[in-house]
Amino acid sequence: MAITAQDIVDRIQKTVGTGWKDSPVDTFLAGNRDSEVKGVATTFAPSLEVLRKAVASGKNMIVSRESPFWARAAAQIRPGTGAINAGPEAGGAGRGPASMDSDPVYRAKRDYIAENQLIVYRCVQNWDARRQDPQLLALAKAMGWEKFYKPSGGQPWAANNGFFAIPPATLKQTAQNIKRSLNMKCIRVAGDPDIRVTKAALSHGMYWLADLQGLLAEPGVDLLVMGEPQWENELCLYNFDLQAAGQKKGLIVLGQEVSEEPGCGEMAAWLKSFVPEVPVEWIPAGEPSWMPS
Amino acid sequence: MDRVSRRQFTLMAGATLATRELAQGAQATLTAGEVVNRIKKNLGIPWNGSTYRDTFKIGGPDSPVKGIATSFGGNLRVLQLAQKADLNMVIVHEPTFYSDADRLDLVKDDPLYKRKLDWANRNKIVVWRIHDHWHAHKPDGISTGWNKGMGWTQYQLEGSLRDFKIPETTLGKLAKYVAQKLETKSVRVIGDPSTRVSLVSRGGHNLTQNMDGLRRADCIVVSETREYDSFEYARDTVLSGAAKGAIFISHASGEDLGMKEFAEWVKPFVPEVAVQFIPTTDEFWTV
Repeated sequence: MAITAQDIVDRIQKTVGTGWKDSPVDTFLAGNRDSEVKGVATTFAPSLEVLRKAVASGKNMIVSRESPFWARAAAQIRPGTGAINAGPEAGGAGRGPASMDSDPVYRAKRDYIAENQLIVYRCVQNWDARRQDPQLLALAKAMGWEKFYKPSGGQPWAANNGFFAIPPATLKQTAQNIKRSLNMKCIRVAGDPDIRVTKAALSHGMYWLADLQGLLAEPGVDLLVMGEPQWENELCLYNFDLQAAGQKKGLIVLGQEVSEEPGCGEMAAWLKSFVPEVPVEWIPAGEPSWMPS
Repeated sequence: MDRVSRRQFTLMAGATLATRELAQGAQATLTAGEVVNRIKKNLGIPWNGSTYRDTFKIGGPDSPVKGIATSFGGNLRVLQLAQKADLNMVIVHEPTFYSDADRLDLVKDDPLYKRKLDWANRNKIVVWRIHDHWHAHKPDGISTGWNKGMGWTQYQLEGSLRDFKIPETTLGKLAKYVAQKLETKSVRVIGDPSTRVSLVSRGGHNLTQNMDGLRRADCIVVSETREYDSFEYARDTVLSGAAKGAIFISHASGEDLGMKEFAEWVKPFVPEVAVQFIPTTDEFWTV
């Protein structure tokens, strides 16, 4: 019997384990939810390249962390579907135009999705709310850090419990190791390259001041490995000030995609366990940018 | 001493004393509030009294001013450099206490906040921010300073401070030029390095600005924007087949030079004390 996109979402809602909460973020953003699904692709961002790869391998449902149309507020893509100025708790402030209809890239993508009858479903908030944060766990695994995990009491692998007793090395060496293990192009580091770092706090995605303060309250943390600061002039300032105050603490910024993509692989594995009817594949979007040498 | 007559000595001592008194008098009369008043008077636009940004962050209007430093951020490192240079009033474009509104409720128990504030108070540092009004100044002081520093004033398109027609180059070469000129190591680029670029637009922090910029120009140069929207939009622009590119620089790299411009602008109407730009610069490095 054919399985529809809505059937898969029903199973996600049943299986997620935290009690599904309706959210303006975790929703269908393109396609017909009652269409038959031939295959599922998971990814950080459903870029045109990811969509083309999905089509080439016969997969017509994309489960992603980000919107195919970039703006975090659904209202910017389909007026009337959400609050333009939704706060961070709703997935980030509305930052795009009220309508994208006049944009050529939007139209190209919208038309590609329609022509290929793709369905895009976004699943972020309920997934992240699992007792063990699957994004954190997957990122640590990808870095080879699972074995160094040293939780600070409480729920292991909770989002705010990403602490690791890493092999002592200089900040520079540690950054090199991370860059290699995650196969990165754009690693950003702050702090004296020669300081020794031994205990890292790891986080993924967007972070705010309260996240920084919470992670730094853990005794002995001398390295923060983060996704993307919600404003450098506020949050990176905090790290720069720690250093100016003489504290030997380093900061490594991975970037949004690098920090979130391993978790999308984890999601593919999870979907496979309860969607046996069709193939499920993780199609990484890949790091979007490069650095001039 | 014996070669100077008593009368001459008395005169000299008197002169020295008078000079010192004059200097001390001048210092005692120049307050941070007076500096701010002169800035408001010279801006040429009405002051928006409801700004939460352009206010005192450390010290207040009565704080005496020995010298003025200007910089992008209220970074502790900048304050330390200002203190060493005896420039105790620091005028910044961006926050001091880790949030846009410098909200004290977010940091009141924070050990770093306390340490920074204590150090600044002990050293009689006063911090005042000018963000909204320096952007609102005609022309926008931040863009003006950046364009000068980049050597791009000559390439500005008529009527715009944020659109340029530069001599044709490639995206890769332009990215290197930007990195060298702004002394930043954290430049990130989307697009094929061999893409030819001539029309360049500054883009902005928000997705809408970057969508507009990429539609108009061959390449956008953006100081701090979000990866989840603007980076992904730039990626899709390139994937859609458009021969375009995007260069992303740190927030400081995009605006620091605007506060160099501010120092030059302040100097003529605050002649009593030294006014000096202290770069915040980009503190990120890469491996």
